[in-house]
Amino acid sequence: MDYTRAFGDPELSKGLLAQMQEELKEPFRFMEVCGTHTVAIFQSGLHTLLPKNMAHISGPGCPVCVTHESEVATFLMLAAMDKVIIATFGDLMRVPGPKGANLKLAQAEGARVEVVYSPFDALALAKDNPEHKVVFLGVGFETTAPTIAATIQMAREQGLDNFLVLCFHKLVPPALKGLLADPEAAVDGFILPGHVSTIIGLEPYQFLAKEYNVPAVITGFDPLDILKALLLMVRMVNEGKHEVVNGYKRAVADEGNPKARQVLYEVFQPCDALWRGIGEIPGSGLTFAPEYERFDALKVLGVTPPEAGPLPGCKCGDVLKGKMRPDKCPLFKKACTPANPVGPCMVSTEGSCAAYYKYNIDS
Amino acid sequence: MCLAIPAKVEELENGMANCRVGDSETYVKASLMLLDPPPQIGDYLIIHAGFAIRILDPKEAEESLAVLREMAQLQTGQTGF
Repeated sequence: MDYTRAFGDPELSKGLLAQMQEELKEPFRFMEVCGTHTVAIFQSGLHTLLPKNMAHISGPGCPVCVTHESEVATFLMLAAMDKVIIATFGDLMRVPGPKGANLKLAQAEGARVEVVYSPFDALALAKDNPEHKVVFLGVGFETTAPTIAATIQMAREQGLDNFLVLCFHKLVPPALKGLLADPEAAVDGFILPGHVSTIIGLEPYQFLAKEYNVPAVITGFDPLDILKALLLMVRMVNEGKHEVVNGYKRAVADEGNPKARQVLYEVFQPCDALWRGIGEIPGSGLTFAPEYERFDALKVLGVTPPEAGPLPGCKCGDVLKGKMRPDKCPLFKKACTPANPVGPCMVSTEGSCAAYYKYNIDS
Repeated sequence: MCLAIPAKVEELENGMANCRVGDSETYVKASLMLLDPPPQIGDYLIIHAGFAIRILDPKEAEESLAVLREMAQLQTGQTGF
């Protein structure tokens, strides 16, 4: 069976949409916290097909978008250092830091910044450039962090001492807790990120139902996955139940991927972290475990992340908290476009502003 | 960024899987370091940033589709499309 097509069946989608229309009694605001879901909802056209009283809001689910200004300033400090090569996923190249500076501009001014597809490529770069320190920018959620941790273990096995990682990884469940702790948060249900959940499983989300009475469904990225998750939440609300459900069992075991978590927590340990537009969230980041500190770019290169505030006029913070729709930002489609982005939500292809710009026919 | 693609295992060698993406001639290599137990040839892997993070479960996929058909069937019976 072609699993990439089976979950996009238009007739089944129509059936689920009609069923949802019939069962949805009260207005329902759902939040997704995964950039891939943001894009999937727009790209598939679901955004325009959902019942009128079902509102979609994008939360802080794009790791590029939530990278704090001070973290971008740190990338730039490292890029400016002598004998340092920055290796990064391409998404980070144009993320703006203080005064709109970014890695792309730094590269144009002579910094060595290399875009890689996988952290393996950064290892190869370190082998080929023994006289340089190669710093991989560790940005991403629980899906990405184990792959970086595994790469660090490979570097250790291979005795590579010029491969370093700048660890700004972030964790999804503490961010959800941070969002719900805000009295202005108005979320009736969460679509939970599919591939983050492939790693962490069901358990870390249970507090949503138990402490906050909010239903949540882990789901995939095809239209039927998303519609099923929404219909399940509508039914839970109608029945007065609040549960966290695994609706993506073909890709997510309830217990997650213990092997990936083992590698992750051998190399990293939780720490407090800064999120763009949100601020510090306790226990929401990862830093090096003591045994692996010799791979920590901050320690080895003696760099402290500088203080940096929000970009003037940019409303990405409100967008990331679901308080403002991207097209309601005064800069949207005016001063801020994908070709000339002011904030990170317009930079990343998975940012909600970029998705609104590209796919939303009403704005 | 957490985008991950399913791809079919065609070869296994030295802790790496060579996988075919859909019906295309695109092949990707994935490390098996984060998987336990390891996959077999013919399995579909979910791959992220060069690492396999899960063997796709075909039984769960079939069951999920059956549930979806059932959920949509309610409506099909009523509207006739």
